[in-house]
Amino acid sequence: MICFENVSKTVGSGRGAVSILNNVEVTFPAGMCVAIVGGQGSGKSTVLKMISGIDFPTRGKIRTNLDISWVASQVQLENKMTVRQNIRFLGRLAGCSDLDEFEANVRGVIDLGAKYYRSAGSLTTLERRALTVATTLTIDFDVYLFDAFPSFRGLGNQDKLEELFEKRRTDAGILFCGNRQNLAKNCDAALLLHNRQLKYYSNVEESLKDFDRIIGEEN
Amino acid sequence: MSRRSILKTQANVLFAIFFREIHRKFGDFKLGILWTLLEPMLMLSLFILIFGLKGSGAFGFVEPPLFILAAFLPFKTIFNDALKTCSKASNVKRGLATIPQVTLFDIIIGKMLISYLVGITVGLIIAILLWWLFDLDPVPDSTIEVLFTIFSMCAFGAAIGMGICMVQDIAKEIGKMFDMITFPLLILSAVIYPMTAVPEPYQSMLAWNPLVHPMEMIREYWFPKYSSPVADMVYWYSWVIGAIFFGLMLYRLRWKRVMAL
Repeated sequence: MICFENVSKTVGSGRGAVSILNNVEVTFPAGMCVAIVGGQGSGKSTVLKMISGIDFPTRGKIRTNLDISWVASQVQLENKMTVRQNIRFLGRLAGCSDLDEFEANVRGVIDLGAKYYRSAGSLTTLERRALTVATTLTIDFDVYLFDAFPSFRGLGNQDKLEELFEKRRTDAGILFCGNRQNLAKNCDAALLLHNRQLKYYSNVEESLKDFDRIIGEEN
Repeated sequence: MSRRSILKTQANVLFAIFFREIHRKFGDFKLGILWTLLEPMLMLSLFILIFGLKGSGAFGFVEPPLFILAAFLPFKTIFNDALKTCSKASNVKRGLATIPQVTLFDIIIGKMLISYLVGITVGLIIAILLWWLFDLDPVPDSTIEVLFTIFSMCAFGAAIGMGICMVQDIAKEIGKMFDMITFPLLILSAVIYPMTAVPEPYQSMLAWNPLVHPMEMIREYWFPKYSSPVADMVYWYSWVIGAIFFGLMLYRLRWKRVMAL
């Protein structure tokens, strides 16, 4: 369970201040694929950051007993270290007990060949994304965060990545910033961010209806 | 995949930061991370050579090279390094901004430990070289006390560095100012001379500088023939505890604001 207790959030200060959440009380389970949806600039990614623990509520608390991942696609690799060192670095941070086994598991998902032993700077943007996603999904978190619904198209190891993602979707939870299309296709539940309030929908159809009504209002 | 306990993970995070930092600093050098040791070693050797050859450091109670080692190792290689790197810890955290598993505090502790461990290793290597090449006896009279006093200097430097790091969002000048006072501090902290060489009334005036005390304590612990006229353990450790308290307080109050830059 992830529990927002009377959470308010303002970003920026002075005249640039924008209120994103106002006294939000919501509790939702995270053992499935949940999309955070809302209008343009409503603060979806700020909410995701707060859940991840790299941003903080202005007032109130977010409580959870779950082990929540970093936002996979936002992990920055250190170019002065090799790919292998970068992977082991992340494994150490997450507290993996057997780094060699962890390394082998990551390599089972994504095959970079000789590049594995070269500087992380030699990776292409696509390879970087595939690597950070593969590394994150290999670590046992309870919830995995994504800033968009991950698309594995064009990545060399598409099948294996998709397989791993599906596995995590069932044995753990996924939480991502989504759009209308994701709501219709990819998720099991939704969090709707509207009017500085978060509402949890265990029924996606309902959330879709509300989403359409709200976006219709805004236009 | 199984996970470790919290304490083990914490130790792992520190090791990971240690490993990452030495790679970030020297990863693309020819000799690579060997520079972590080579850089301070070259600096210390240079000091020993310059001051040792000039004969400064000959104060009667010990050979000049050992005097320089016992002064520059704690002050320059460890204290100064801890202060400087800890005050820039927020830059490191910014590179890891998306990873909540590493906090700014982890990085400060990691940086402090790097300064200490690298410094002690370098000191050990230089000590062995001095013994091997020049037949000097580099083993301190009370080794544990020397190591602990050096550690207290490292913690003092880290605490001040943490304080600087926490107020840098107010004005970048604060960090620059501390860079500027490094050299005067070296002169005023009884690093290149012992307090026995300072006449009154300057002796009592310099004794207000907290850094004079660990420098003198280290000499007392290291050289059996040296007895300091001013070393005051209570005065020094009060400053250390005060600095740690102050640094932690600033951290608690301001770290979110510093990271929001």
